[in-house]
Amino acid sequence: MIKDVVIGQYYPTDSVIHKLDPRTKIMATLLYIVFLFLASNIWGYFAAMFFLIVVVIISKIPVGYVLRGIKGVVFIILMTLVFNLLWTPGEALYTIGPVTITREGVSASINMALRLVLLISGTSMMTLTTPTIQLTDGMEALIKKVPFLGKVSHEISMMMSIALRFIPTLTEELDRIMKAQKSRGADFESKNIVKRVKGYVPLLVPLFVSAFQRANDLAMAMEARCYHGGEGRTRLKILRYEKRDRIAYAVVLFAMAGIFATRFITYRLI
Amino acid sequence: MDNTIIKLENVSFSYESGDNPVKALDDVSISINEGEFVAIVGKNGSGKSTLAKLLNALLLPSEGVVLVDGMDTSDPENTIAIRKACAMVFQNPDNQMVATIVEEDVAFGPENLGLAPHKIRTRVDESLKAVMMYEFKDQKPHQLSGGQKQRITIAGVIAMHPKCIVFDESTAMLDPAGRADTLKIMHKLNDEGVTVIFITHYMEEITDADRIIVMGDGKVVKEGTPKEIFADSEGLKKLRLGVPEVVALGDLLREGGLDIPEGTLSEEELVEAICRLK
Repeated sequence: MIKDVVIGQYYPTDSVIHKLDPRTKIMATLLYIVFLFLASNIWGYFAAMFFLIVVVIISKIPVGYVLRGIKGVVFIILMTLVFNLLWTPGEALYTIGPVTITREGVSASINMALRLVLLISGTSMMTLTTPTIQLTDGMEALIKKVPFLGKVSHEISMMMSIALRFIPTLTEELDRIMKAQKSRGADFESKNIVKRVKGYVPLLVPLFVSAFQRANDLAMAMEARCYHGGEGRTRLKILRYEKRDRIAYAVVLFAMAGIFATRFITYRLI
Repeated sequence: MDNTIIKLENVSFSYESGDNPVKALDDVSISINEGEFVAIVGKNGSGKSTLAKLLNALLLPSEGVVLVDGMDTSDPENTIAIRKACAMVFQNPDNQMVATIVEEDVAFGPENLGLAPHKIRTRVDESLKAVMMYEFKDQKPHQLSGGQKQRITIAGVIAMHPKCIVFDESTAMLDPAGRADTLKIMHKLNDEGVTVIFITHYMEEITDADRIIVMGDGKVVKEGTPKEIFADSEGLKKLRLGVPEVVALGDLLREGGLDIPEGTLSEEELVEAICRLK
């Protein structure tokens, strides 16, 4: 179940997007999110979609892979679709019994669904094209520039990378504990929800105990390897902006201006 | 002596646990020379792991002095230099790896030392080659076997160019193949001049050591070459330690009246001794 999470899933290809500096990709994603919320009508979402499709094509990642991220939130998307469709007041289009579907409702639900799909597939493009280690390095470099947070940028990125490092280890551990408890008669499939929740207690307790044990061991191993915080620490790989990053920034800013410009389109599709 | 790298003088250590502290080490004095391969054995609770942690200032002695490469571990000024001189490989490889990519993990030590990026690069490459894991440098650690992971952690330690490496039961969680690989690397490092201190309870693994120190109840019980130590299998049994199978077999044959010389430690030696029988 944890294996389905697309965040942190890296899909290696030799595209130019993969070669971009992680900072460029993080900043581009942030801008993309902001402008997605600034878009006020369907033309804005079409513009964002066009931008995203171009990015996906350049990245050489199969479309199905990008859309996989949406699978986990299909339910949420459907919910927003239905709620917006049924409960938006406005000019009535159809009336079926007590339910009235309005013009505004149709437009709002389509907009919301598009926004969610674009948001999720857009952000997963960042994780699909960037190895986690580069992402955390990029975050560290960017956080360093933020006032107040800059002082702890090393700590934040160290925590993130350790968390990512231990996800597979703890998943394996959970699997092992689950099998051990099942073999002793634990019931994880009971239809009774109280029973099922109770079944998870003997999973979580040993998992936490072992996580603490691991944390303790890791801290000692890190100290033994001369770890003493971010001060005086150097890195194997240093981030450096290339010409392609400057081009990418220009392209992204241009695209964002395009998305923003759609606010002034008054022609309504629905 | 001039080439002493590690010296413990009347060291005691107690764990604080409530009102009654537990004494893990009691008046231990050991000295280890540069380039030696020393094995420290003892049953659980004999204080051998505590001893290991004292050697690179992860723990500080309650009494006595620990000198590593001439530096006193109780002086915080020395801590980093001591850990650089005397590195440590632990038991569980999973719990020692920091990074999500093999080469980044090996780079962790040199990065902490503040080396220039190109220097880190050369050290990472040479360390990975030394443990025969260079082709795995871009892999994720969780995709490797236990033995391979332990080789990576050893590479991470080699990359700091230590004079001395402490292996704290580093073979205990590995399968036989991983154990053999790790042991081979330990001997290779020792041949290159690195002092190796190997803490274990597998007697089979230490027949090639220069010296064995037997611990029991926080004290050094015995000290000597493998031949000397394994000659007294009764004494080892009292400490709940065995002797290697080859030694045990040799002892049995000798009891049965066959002429097997004492101090036969390896399979080859035993085979030869048996073939010489008439």
